[in-house]
Amino acid sequence: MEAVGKNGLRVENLGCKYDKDWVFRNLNFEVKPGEAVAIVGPSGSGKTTLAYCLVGIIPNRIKAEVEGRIIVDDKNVLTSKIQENVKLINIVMQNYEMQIFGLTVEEDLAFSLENLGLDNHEIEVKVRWALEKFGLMNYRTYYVHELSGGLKQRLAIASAIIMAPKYLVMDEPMANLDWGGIMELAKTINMLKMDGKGLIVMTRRLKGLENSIDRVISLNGEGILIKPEVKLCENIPPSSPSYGSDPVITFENVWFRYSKEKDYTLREINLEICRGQCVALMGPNGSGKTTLVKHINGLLKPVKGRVIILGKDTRGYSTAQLSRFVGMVFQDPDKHITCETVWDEVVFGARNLGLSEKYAEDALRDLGLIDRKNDPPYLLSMGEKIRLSIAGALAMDPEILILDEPTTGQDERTLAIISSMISRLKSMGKTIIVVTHDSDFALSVSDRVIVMRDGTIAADGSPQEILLNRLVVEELGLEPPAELLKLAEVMA
Amino acid sequence: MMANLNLDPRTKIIAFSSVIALAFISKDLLVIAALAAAIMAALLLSDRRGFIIRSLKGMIPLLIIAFLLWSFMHEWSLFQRYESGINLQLGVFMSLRLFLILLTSLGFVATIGMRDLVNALNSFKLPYKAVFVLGLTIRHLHTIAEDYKAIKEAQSSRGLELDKGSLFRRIKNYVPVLIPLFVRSIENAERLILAMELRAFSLNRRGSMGRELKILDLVVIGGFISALILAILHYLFAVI
Repeated sequence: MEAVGKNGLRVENLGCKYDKDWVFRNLNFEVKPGEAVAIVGPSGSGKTTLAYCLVGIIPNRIKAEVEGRIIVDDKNVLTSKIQENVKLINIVMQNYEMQIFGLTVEEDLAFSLENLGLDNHEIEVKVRWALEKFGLMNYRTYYVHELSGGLKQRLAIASAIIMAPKYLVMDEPMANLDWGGIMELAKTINMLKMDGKGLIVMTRRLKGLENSIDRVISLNGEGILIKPEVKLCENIPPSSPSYGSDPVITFENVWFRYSKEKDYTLREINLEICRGQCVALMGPNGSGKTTLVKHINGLLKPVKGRVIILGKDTRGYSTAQLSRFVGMVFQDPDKHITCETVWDEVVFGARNLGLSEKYAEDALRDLGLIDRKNDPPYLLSMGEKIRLSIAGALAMDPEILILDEPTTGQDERTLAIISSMISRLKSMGKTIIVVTHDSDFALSVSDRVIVMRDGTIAADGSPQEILLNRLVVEELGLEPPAELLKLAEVMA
Repeated sequence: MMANLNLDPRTKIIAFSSVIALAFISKDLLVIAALAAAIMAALLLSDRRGFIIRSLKGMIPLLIIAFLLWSFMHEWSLFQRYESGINLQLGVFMSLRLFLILLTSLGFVATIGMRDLVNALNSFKLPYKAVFVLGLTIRHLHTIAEDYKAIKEAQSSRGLELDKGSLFRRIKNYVPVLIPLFVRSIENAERLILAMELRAFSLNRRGSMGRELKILDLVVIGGFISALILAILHYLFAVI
């Protein structure tokens, strides 16, 4: 191994385990100043554990058995205090919202500087520098909760960088970003590299950051292997579009706004979705996708116009009543896990509606969770939890299934299980709506793609028509699917 | 005056406390009416007038009830003894006093940002620990409220009827909403402690606020304090 000398981050024979099994062992890698390294691996491969080791959260705060060393500028972070480490290496966590302390943007930037005991003038100068550097000047007096996800993340990065660490770890920074947000993140990474910061990005997929990342290290159970280039997703066979003739969801001139003072979030939506279709609903964050699907199960009712689900006007029914027909799987499964065992969790909905429990068992089997039936749900991994909530929705045998961002943070295995479940449901005549940013996933599962922008439907057509058309993808700010990227490479 | 957001938050706190104190000390209808009119005028000039007017509309029934009770049923008052019979003047006085208190509190809440409040308390030399925790709570109220809403939506999508049945039944219905909310809050608290360390947090730091008060602030504070002293001397000690 090449010696990094005084400047640089060096991981030597690092291993970590919480109880019996090693999460990883014999990790060796280096990061130089001004370099961005991506550490990729499926969910559960130990990315977060590694991230926590790099700043010394493990073993300082979270108890785990650690072997090996992490040397940053001649200092072993594993044996020094976190308060000392943060001046050398800091982290933006996956749940970066918790890292924001100020009520306003400016205040948050000042927070760490105040903690470091700087005087008011110095704080002012540095805050100003960070606001300009990270393009947050216009938002300086905004309340933090008014910011979009991408801006909040940028603030979290700025607040970490303002303490002038030499290295920054980012844990799954792309998890909740739309394509535009990912492009902005790539710019931020490039800028930090220019400033000579070393970056370590933990991620499930690299898409969008290829040009900012210098090296990719793949993380698996045994150790590490360095790959020269980014692996693109496998080729997807084109599916033939089949538009049914039996509408189960109808939007008639629907307008919606959250309150009278606000602008309309949905404007004049006219839409018909037929039985047996799988529709991918796409578009940037804040374009109204979630608002639209919440109309289907009656969580929201139109301000103007009407929504007809299986012949029923949603205004006359509660969400609980509609849940008999419309299953909705939310993005964050932790939000609704209530019961003590996986089985109780799956039949929760069916019991609420007084349905038999026969579908629950099938659903668990299909989603590969039948062996975990008696386990407490809190022990499941994120991918398993997502599958558990899908199983919970299927246990109610709904006619329509809505999946909100099922691909976020999921590994290939979970994605494959979800895809095969979708095709089976389609063959049973069920209707599926998938809200997603993942163009590759949309291409592989859907018969129809609807793209939203500013509360209106900007495009509606077959997945090939929309997602494989470079002009359309660019115009609508969608994530280009792997096929399109490959094509662009060939052309170049 | 209070409506002007350029006033220092400390001024607002002092003005607010003085008006509330004056409302209780003053025994003259005219004094109360003048105070109410002045504050009303100030609030109507502020940019929060929409909120103020809307909230006040909702309070009209309360004021009418107060007027009726004090005019006709003051004999049964627990606090003070008045002559028996109908006393319309007392009704007007009491409902106007209530109006003044509501209006001032409303104006205070509407024009002071939570951040200002925390900063002002900080500069009043309250312990930093307490002020920091208050600030953190305010910052996270929003997160908790969002979580609560999202959990409620998720559970009703799973066929949970929240607002149906007897009171007991309804309370029981909320259990599947509250459990994930508690679990999340505890998890968040753990992450928060971690995040605090990552930002080099320590409780020993000094408060950062300490801006000089402007002349306008001093005038407003002086005005309210002298009014309060005059009122105390006049009503409580009958000196002037």
